[in-house]
Amino acid sequence: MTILHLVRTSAFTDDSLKQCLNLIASADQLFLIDDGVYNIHHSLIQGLKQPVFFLQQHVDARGLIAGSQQRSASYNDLVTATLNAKKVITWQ
Amino acid sequence: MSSHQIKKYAIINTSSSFNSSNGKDSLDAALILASYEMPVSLFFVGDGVYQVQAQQNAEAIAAKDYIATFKALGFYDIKDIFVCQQSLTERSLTTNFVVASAKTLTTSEIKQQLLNFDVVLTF
Repeated sequence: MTILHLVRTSAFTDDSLKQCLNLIASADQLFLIDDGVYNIHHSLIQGLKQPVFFLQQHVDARGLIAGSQQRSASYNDLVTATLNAKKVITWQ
Repeated sequence: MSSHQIKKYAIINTSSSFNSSNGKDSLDAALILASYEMPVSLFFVGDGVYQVQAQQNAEAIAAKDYIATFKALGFYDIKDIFVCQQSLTERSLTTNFVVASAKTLTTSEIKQQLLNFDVVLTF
């Protein structure tokens, strides 16, 4: 059972993503929502071992074009992820 | 005697002392949880390490001196207080903490510790 890390702010603004990446284990799941989706183009995210998910609606809302490295997800995927994880940590 | 399910709480502080209410809110949460007999451990990482520095003076900026309340953590049975060593070094800070019982941990030790908790809150 892994930990689901939700990141809700942009790493161009604060260091929540950096704090998350400091404490995330390789088996954990990283999920970008709200302003956290701005991180899909941040250098901290490129070349990460773990899978990085982002909420598609939040990317669309902000007019962003997602790269291929990260995986698009829906609200249902987010709910499923919270149920599968042992616990959820929100970084904001 | 406790009528509610006991869960182990970790509170991760990532904010500096006075620029936001995160520090005070976090301490309030910790004390409330402890008063409900929930085991609470505090972690200070990133700018959160500024909160545990000794010699802070909230009155100088007319801010609420919640830092002084750290000394009461023992009464609430909050004994596990961990401070990130890397964050201290990055900020050229000493281990002169406002809470004597605070211990420094490396990031990997903190990562290991987090596995032991049921709920992890960040401020």
